[in-house]
Amino acid sequence: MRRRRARAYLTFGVASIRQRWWEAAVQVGVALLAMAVVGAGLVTASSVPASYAATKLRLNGPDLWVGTQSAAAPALYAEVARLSQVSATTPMYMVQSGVVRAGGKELPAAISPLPETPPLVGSLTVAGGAWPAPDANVALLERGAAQTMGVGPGSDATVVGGAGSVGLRISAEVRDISHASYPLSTPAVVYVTRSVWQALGGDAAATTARFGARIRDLSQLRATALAIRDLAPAGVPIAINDGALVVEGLQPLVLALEGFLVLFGLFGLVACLFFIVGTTRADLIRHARTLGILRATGWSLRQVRWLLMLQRGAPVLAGVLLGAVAAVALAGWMTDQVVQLMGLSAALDTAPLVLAGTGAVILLAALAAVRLATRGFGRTSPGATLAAGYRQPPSRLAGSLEVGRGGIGPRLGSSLLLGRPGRTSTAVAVLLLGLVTVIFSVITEATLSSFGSEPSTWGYAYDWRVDYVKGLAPADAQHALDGTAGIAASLPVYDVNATIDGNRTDARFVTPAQDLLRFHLLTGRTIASDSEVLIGAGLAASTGLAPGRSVLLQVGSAPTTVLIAGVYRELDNLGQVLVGRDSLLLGLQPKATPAYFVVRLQRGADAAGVRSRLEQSVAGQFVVSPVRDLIAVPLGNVFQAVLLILGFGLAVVAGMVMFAMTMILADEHTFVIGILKAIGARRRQLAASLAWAAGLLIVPAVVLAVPAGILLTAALIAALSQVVGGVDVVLPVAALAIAIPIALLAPILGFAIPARAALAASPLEAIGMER
Amino acid sequence: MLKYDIDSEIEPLTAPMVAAHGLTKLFSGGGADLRAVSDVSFELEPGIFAAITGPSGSGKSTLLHLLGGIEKPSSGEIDVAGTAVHALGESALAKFRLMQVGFIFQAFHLIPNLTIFNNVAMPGLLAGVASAALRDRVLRLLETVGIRDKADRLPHELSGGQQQRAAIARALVNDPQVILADEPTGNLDSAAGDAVLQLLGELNDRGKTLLMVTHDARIAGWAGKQLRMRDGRLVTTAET
Repeated sequence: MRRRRARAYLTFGVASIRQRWWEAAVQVGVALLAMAVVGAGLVTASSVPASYAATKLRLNGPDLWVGTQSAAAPALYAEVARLSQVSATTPMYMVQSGVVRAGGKELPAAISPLPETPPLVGSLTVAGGAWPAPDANVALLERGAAQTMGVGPGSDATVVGGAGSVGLRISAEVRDISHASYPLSTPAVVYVTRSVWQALGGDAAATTARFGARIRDLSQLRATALAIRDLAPAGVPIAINDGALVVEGLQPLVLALEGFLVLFGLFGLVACLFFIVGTTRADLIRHARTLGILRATGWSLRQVRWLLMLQRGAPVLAGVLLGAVAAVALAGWMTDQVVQLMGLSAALDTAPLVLAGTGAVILLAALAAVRLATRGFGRTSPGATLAAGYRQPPSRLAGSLEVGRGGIGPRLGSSLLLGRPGRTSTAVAVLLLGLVTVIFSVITEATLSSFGSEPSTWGYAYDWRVDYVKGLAPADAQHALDGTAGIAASLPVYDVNATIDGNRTDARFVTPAQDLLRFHLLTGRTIASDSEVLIGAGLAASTGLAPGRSVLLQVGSAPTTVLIAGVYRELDNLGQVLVGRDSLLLGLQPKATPAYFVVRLQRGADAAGVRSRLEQSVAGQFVVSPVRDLIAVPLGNVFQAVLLILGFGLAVVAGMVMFAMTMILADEHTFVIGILKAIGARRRQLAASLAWAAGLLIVPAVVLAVPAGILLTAALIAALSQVVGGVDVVLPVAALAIAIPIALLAPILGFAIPARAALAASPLEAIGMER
Repeated sequence: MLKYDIDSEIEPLTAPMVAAHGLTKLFSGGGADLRAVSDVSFELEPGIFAAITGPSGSGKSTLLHLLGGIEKPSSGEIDVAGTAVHALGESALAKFRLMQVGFIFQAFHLIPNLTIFNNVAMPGLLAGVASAALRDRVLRLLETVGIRDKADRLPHELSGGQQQRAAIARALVNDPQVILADEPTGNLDSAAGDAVLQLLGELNDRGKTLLMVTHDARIAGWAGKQLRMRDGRLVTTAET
């Protein structure tokens, strides 16, 4: 019995889908998109930490990283290795400050010797080449730096270290999970073979060193970190961090990406539900006689509802299954893009439970929509349904058509729509949703394209960052900058390690200069005295420090109390930075030397000529980095690609749904068109009333959608701004003026095609369409 | 010498209100043509109440649709109120349906979204009748058919008989010379059906030419003339 019933459901379900295949196709498409983007967002968010865990496991990576001065490092390294809580250590990586020049560009570099063989406890993966022999004249460049310079394996390069310069070949790219990728982490990381290291001056030319340690009991991670800190001699700076810091630092961006995807997915789901409600209600009318026959021949209302649910649920289920596959593929690509920034290998956390849960929610929502749409169906007896079909009583609003006001077109058009306010409002809502989606995509794309591409976004009013090699005295560097024609202003920047409220961080000290550095405050105010500092958003997020707090700042061995005046947006080192006046630093460390200079060119100056003159004046001991090279927005390519896919995808889906809804609406009016033709309405009159009906659908949708889309987008971007910091909405008027009419093509066609067919049909044919 | 023209002597004083000559309608489909109306010819004088009768599938509704300009003939000629309907184009046909004939359908075919007033007013609106005049005319017609108090109701709120009365009022709003009714009592009980027939009879008494399709011999008895059809052909024409 049950099998026969299932077969009956199947027979009707298949027949219905074959008859209205495009409706099923729209449902599959929308469910696929909703599932794909929501699933991809959720899976990506969990895959990023999973990728770190998997890469760390594969490399047998350390749990803690320790950084200190090169001179103190060997002794500290030996003591840490002896700690009972430490099970193993990485090799010790000495670090020289220098420059790498390749592909016509140069970057400030942190140069370290590469172990002779892959270490047992490691953080490095060599990509695109073999682990080089110790005597090879080669260097390995971190992936982000290689991309910035546009070079790869086989490219020639010059590495300038603490005590020399070596011409060599880049043998491979290297991924290093102890650092975020350049330019998120500066300077660029360069590994050289032992022979090259010696040619550059060896350990004696190193300034800092770092090594990693594996901890026996991870529950003792913090205690072990504190124990290591206590091993450092007094006055020796030491930085200890969890290797996962790079993952955590990017988490806000990952969450923002996830948020975008889930939001877009929800747009798709809502569109899907509107569509299901609209088509189900339309089916109750279109197939009223069929449903009447079913009821008259023994089908219960419940069974009829099951049939309708099957007709909608099957395409949605197909969409969900295909969407799950698409979600895994999309998440794989996005995870790969994200984790590359941290030197990780993508490991997809397929999270079957997440995907199953998302799919179940979409499917249940679809079935609930059918249930909602069939509310009230069944109040008519099977006999009445058979005789006259199931008809919802038209609304009293239809009474607005009265003699004496306006032409026949607007009056008839409005009456056609107002007679079915439910269907009309659904069509308007779908139109509204589709237009809001398009507006959202256009504005967000424009905003994100603008965001970060201008140095001023990051507070950088300068054109160049100028690093100088160790052999050049800071005073000579400043003199050269001051004496070069074409340079409007320059400013030394002191970059040191510091501890603020017990947290290790980079500290930057500068002379306040609005012409060169404009700190984009997220909260608080600017620095008003030497005893005040600003902290980057990343540091504020990871430490909980906030404006108004007085905390202990330690630079070297000199402590002082400072007031946190504000939190600002900072790209460098994921915002794990504090900024104070250089007079504060020089008060603590009178012999401190600038790490680099920032330079602004005169308006209209020939940048290449100025650069050439500047480099000649110091015999090439400057490293000039144009500021635009330093401000690649993290995940910008992923965001833009996602927006592009979703913008087009959702516009297409919204267009399909709008097409379908307006088509159903026009289809339902076929019967009325038939009557009107039979009583003498001319084609021109009917076309005018249908044009008015289309206008009455579209105009309110546009009028509502434009402000709603702009306000909603502004609100969402403001929310994003809370995470990323100071993202200003860009309103691309020209792009919107093009996108909105394009988006309206689908609903206009959806109305025009069936309306045209109804107008062309004979009156009897049109009346006969009432099934 | 003058010749006596006998034909002019017997020519009717008025031309036929409805005339069909060699009227044929073929429907194509399923690989075979269906001859729904085959070589039908007849003439009806003005002011007549005629019934087209015959069994189901005999082509009587198709004939009515052809006369009303809702269907186009495959061949033959139709003349209604002096208009050569068979020669009209799309726009002229619409104007003919609007001004010269009033159609009454078995299933009423009122527009469900519109009030009874607006349904009745619709042909007047389409014809561009002035608002005040149209309002008066609609209310007077609703009064005539006995549903003046239902003017603001929607069709589904009325009984079948009331809906058919509204359809009759709609058919009359542009004061056509010919009323075409396709099984006007088919969806009504006998009391409501008799009331509708009474109403049609009164219209005929006021000079309207009435052509009604029915398969019911009792209802056909209301008409003054019967055109009997079978298999698409007009088999007899009889005065009753």
